[in-house]
Amino acid sequence: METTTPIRIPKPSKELVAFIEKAQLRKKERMQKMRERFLQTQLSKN
Amino acid sequence: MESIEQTFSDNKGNHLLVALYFYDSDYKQTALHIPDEFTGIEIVDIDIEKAFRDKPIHPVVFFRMSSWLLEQFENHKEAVFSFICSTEDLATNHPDQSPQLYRWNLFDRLYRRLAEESGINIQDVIVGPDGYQSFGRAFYRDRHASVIHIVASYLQDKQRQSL
Repeated sequence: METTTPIRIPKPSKELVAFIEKAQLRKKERMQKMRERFLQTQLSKN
Repeated sequence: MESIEQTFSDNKGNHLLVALYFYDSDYKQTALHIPDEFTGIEIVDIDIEKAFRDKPIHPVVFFRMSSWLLEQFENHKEAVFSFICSTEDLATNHPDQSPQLYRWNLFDRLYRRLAEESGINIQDVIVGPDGYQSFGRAFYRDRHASVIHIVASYLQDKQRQSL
């Protein structure tokens, strides 16, 4: 396994910040839905 | 194929939920600026969540998760895997670390332990000033390095210009 030098962006533009925030929000929504599906499955079993 | 999900029980009352989310062609081209000639490459984001957030989870599930992730990477020959640390609050025994940094360190230790001999390359991206950083990592094969360079260049171009 090879690790390249980390890319550091200490001063991101507003555009990049918005891009990351949107990606984080989508990720959060996906994880929430995954969790809800799992909990629903568990409820159905009990 | 949009996602693959897997559940890992710790046999102590909690579960780790893991998903591989496959970005569609539109996102790859418009958001990540990946050229047409690379659209055959799959970009896959790893989502990890506890089923019961307010309960602890036995660490054994993280090792099983890491083995499963490695297996999935080996099965998807044209995939680049990414891991973007969630910013959600997380109760840990390390109050000196932000939830993102805790997740980052945990994921890093687990994956390095498994992937040492696998020939997988890693590219990390750290965005933001100290104390306010977002962490992301891409796992890729040598033949996909050009795609990583393209996306990395795009991100680096997004540096705020000094006044």
